[in-house]
Amino acid sequence: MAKVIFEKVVKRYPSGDRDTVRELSLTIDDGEFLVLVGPSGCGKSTILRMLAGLINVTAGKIFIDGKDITRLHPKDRDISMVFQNYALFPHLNVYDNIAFGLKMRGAPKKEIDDRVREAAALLGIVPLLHKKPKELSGGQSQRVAVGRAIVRRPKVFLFDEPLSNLDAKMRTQMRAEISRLHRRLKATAIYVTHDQCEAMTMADRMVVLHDGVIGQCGTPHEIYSAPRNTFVATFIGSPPMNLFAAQAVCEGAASGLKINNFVLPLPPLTAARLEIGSKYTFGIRPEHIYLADRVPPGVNSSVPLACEVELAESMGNDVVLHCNSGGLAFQASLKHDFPVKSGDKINVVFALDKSHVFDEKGERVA
Amino acid sequence: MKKLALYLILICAAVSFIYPFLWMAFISLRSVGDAGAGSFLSSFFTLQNYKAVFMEIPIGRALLNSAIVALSTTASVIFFSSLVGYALAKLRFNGRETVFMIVLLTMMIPGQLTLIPLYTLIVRLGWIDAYPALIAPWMISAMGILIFRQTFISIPDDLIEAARMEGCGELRILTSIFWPLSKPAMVTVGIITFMNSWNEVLWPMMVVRRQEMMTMPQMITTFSVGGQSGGELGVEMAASMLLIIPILAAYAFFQKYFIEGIASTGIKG
Repeated sequence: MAKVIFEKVVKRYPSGDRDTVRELSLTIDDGEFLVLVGPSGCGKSTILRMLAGLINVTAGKIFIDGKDITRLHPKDRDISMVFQNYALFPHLNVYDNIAFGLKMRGAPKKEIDDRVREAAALLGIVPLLHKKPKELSGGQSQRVAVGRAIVRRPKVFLFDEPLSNLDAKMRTQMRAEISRLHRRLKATAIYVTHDQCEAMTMADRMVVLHDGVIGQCGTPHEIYSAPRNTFVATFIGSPPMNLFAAQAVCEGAASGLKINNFVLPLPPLTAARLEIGSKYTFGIRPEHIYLADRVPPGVNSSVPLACEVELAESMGNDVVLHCNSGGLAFQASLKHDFPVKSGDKINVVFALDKSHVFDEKGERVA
Repeated sequence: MKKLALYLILICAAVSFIYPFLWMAFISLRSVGDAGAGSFLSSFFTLQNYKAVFMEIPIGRALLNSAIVALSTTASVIFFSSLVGYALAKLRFNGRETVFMIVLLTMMIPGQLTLIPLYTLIVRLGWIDAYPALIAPWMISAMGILIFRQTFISIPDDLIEAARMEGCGELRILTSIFWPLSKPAMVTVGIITFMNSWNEVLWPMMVVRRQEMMTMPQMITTFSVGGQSGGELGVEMAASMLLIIPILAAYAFFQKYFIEGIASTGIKG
């Protein structure tokens, strides 16, 4: 398999007035499963298509295993791609769809047959080999598309939002299947999605893209627990992180953040990084807010904050509360083991050791 | 009641279209004396008129010439028009829309306007009385380009990209992916081109003088108008029947695709 390097890659479409991808530098290690995640228009698919050779690079270089492939035709890059709409050839049956790439490369008939049947067995689609794409369900079509990608044994696999057309159940199933397949093939894979759940569950490493630049690159845990900026903080996590405008203040011996009318004392290590009087953004994830009388042991909690439940959304196991405390709106995600309904008045606390502070530009301070 | 009226109108229209063909077929099958009688009903039919056609003129050779010219023209129109249609539908290049507008513009120029310049060109190339004179000027058609472009636009770009990733060049994408997915369009372009080429009289009259190079319609026109038929209506109709049989056969064979193609592209021949 292969190591992929993007070196200051820029993409500007002829019709665009700004760069869609801005000086992207990124290394994907041999055998790594990297997920590019971000909102629509952030440039993630553009990056994938530049690597595939389907669109030209405006500036910069792309290397696979040390070889500059920036100007090579897609067929000479030894890359396979799974498309969002499967892109199966409607006039060919499943067997011929999977065999297509090998036939185009003039592989011997026996080898084609062996490899197609091996891929089909791996994906559990042997009974479908004689069927046409229009006879397949979404999940089956996606398996065939994956089969077509793996049968050539390319250096790099690309997945362009391959699960977005599937229903929720099939998506979960295919997610696990692709992850298992990757572990088995140990292939370098780059996967594009706008679904943070897919990104978190599948990635060895993920890249959060925003406006054509890397917002943050790291393991799912790193990105979840220490987001580099407010964009990453709110993009990853569902419900998103609560952000409050705050000001650093000093009350007595302790420093804290003043949010609305109350002061939140901060742990000394966090407080030490703040400049008294400056403006900050305080962030806390909904799952790090607890009912004041049900704080788990070992949590460094804030003082209780009285609030009103405006809306309680039951998610089965959890309940998401839309709370308001004197104009301060936030969401809390709690275990569904107590009765709560809209209009209830409750006291909540924030887990301070799980809180985040960002400066005025939105960059992480602590 | 409304449906009945509709069917009556359609039947009347169908009869008015089919009547001339039936009349021609019946006249061609009557004996020399009966031909002018004007009634469909006859006591017996004969192939005497067809024998007369084969005796009087080298119709076999004309049939071969027409087949060579019409099939070559049809094949090249399908190939070259689909090439251009693919480029105009799926490739991105400066001036693409302008090129398409120019192609459309050529459809609005009457064919007769280009006859003289074309003839001059053919004479200069020394192609008079040769197959290239009958084939080369019609190897690509604006109508074909338009039909292929409209058909290809509806094929998803993902298929092209998948084919590129799997190792296809542009020509391979056209022949391996687009052609099989555009059978109705190919049949439509094929039948319209074949029909136009098969029925063409004026152009062969201009560039062919030797009898052994003449095409069917040219030969039959010369035969009927030139006096070789002796003014016999039955013989003239037999010659005309021989001319239309291949067209009818082709239409009958490809009827399903032809109707589908016309319906999907919205273009009539």
